[in-house]
Amino acid sequence: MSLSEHLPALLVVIPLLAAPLCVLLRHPLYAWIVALASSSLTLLAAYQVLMQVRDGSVIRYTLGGWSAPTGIEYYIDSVNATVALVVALISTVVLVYTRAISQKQLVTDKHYLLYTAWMLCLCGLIGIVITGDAFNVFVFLEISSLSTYLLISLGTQRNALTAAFRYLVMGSIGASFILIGIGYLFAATGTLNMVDLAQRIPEVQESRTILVAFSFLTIGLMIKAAVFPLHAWLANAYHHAPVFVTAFLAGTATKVSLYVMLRFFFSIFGADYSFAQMFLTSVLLPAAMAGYLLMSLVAVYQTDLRRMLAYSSIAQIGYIVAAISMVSVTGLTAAMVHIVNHALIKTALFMSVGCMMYRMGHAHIKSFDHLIRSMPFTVMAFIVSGLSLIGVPLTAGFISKFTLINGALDRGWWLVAASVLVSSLLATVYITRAAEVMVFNRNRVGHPQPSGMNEAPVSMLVPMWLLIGLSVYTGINGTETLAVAEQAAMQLLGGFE
Amino acid sequence: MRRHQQQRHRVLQIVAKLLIPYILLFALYVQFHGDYGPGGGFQAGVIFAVGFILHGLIFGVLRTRKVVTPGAVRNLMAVGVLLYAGTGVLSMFMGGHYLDYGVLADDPLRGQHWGIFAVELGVGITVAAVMISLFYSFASPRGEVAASNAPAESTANFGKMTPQQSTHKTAANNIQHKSPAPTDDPDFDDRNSKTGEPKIGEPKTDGKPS
Amino acid sequence: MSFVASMYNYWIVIVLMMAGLYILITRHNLVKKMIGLSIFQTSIFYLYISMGKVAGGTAPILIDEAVQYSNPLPHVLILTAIVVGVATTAVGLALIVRIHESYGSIEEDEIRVQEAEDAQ
Repeated sequence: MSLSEHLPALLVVIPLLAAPLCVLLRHPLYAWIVALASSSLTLLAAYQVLMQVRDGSVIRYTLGGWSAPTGIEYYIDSVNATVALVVALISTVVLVYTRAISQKQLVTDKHYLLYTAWMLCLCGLIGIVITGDAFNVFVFLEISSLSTYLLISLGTQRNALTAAFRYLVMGSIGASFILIGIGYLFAATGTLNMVDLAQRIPEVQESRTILVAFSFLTIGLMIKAAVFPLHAWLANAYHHAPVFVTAFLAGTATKVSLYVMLRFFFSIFGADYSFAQMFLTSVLLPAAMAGYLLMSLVAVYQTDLRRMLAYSSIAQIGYIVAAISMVSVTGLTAAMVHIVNHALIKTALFMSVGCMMYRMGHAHIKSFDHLIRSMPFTVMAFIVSGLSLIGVPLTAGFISKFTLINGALDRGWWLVAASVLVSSLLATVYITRAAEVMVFNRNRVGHPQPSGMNEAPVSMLVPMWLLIGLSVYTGINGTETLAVAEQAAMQLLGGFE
Repeated sequence: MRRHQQQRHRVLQIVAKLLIPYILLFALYVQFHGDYGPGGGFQAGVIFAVGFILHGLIFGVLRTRKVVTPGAVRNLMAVGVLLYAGTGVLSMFMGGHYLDYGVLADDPLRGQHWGIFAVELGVGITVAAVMISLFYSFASPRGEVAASNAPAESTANFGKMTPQQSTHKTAANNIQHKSPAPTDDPDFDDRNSKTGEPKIGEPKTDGKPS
Repeated sequence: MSFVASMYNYWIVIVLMMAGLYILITRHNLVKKMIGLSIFQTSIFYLYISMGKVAGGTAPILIDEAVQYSNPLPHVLILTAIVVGVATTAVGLALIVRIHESYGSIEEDEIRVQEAEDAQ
């Protein structure tokens, strides 16, 4: 057996092995090296896996050699291979970036804890994405959630502790709902394997057990993905967590939950059950629309950059959920593209905020007067990725918004298309409001002017610009991303093989 | 005063000394007999940790921390996970799938046996270490006043006494000789630990920075 | 009535679950919130385990003669879920200890007052 056959297992095992190694080494630098190396290896493996399933094939890897319905298997098609690649990519890039800023924001003897929790979180996130077993989803979900609580509590302010605690309560309720849902699915079908579930649910889908399972899973996943009415934990968590942790989580945690949503709604229950019989569209679409309109509006009034971006994240999740509720190839393509693009954009935005915090020590918009003079690269990064967030042509954000509006118009949902435009307008307002302060000199008397260049370290700028370059590239040449996303959409609508 | 206290707990101490070896032995039995009967790493790990937790309750956490240092516990936690994941990787190198124990020996049955043995041992070590470290971090006297928003103090470290910890009377008694107003009345001691915060600059109850 | 009686395990689950959620929502003491969360999670364990019971079935330990076993799979799943629950409780309590260190209180309303002061 060659190594390439074991790639699915390695995706999870490499970070799992790195976590205890970080504990044993305890040295901040060595722990960072181990974490970075394992994250890069995971990235490499994820890329290889995506290339293997790019032709529409499916990898099924049985753990322990126990064949599918009995044992646990990893099921990888182009949907989850894409998400896994994004998660590994963001983890690696942000880890490079983290070294410099964590030295400034975190005491030395906590660094190894940071990297251990980071690796466990990565292990959990990738595990959720590639597993083909419903109960395994819950286990990995809890691995990633528990380490996320730790990561958030590392924040410099004491608010981080209460934010982490509130997230823990909400997250545990969400995970417990998912656990109940899986339990009822098991009670009704006698299996936990996703492919098996998809085959057996149609036989019993009239039963009330399946209905209960479906409801619990929907609510649980909506909490985990921070879909609008259930988003309360997100703003605090993103605001008070260390900024490098926020950059990592913003691109990965909610995206992975959205992926699980796609998997359950489309592959396991089937689009027909979820949307035609359960009227999921009438639940998800109003929530999504209210989400992106209200949260964009709330973002406009924020005084802290991190909080502004956190509310913007909830709005962006709204777009993705709106795209999901279209139940069409275009809609799902838009959802997949936006999962990828928003991960890249929002991570880059939080990274640029991190650079500002590295020099300024805080993220209050007001005090960033004329910041462009001292930190030109950082401010440019903020503006470029901000434009991408708005959806200006030639950026990645444009591609996803274009596909999203296309999908809405296909369905004849004029109101949705219009409200997406309104929400984008609001995004323009909040990004411009912040950018305006940074670029123009509104020199008020008594305000000390920063003199000369005071740019963040190169080790932070390079990974940030790498991500921005990637998102600009996908903006200019969107065919590759769109092709992958479209294939993923087809596979989702087609169900399991 | 210290001797006085120790005499008061003499019965408990002797009973504990008698019991602890059997608890540990039973844990090992549950661990290694798990192949043939009910048992396994989870249960064995918890029982094994109970031996140390009992020691901590009777003799005070500070003495237990000398028996098993927090550093050792932390390393054992990591070793257990490594053993578990390493067994899986080993089976991968031997030509099977991840955690496919069948390939670990010539005879698949024997391979399964060895695989389960190693994995459960890893689980047992980790569970025991985690339970002990949970006990340490909740029961340990927290000697240093933590600055409110300084990131400087670490999770497993000792800030100040919290109400939860004062329920562990023996633990509180044990550091009593360091508190400003020593008295023999255990109730007073309890009140003291609830309301009075240890003085800044008081010697750290444990020399080891964790 | 027989409908109620024959489903008694579900009634226990529902009562426990609602009690847990109620504590979680109404109590302002963080430790009590954790207790509520634990009760809530325990009700799910009970749901799974009672689900696996086969009437007249015995424990699934290898015996030579053929007997009816209860379904062992829910037990195994719940063993994992219990560990997860313990871990959640531990992390939650550890956070509470640190919150008490920083705020000097574990009452949510008092913490909120201090948070509001921090924000200014």
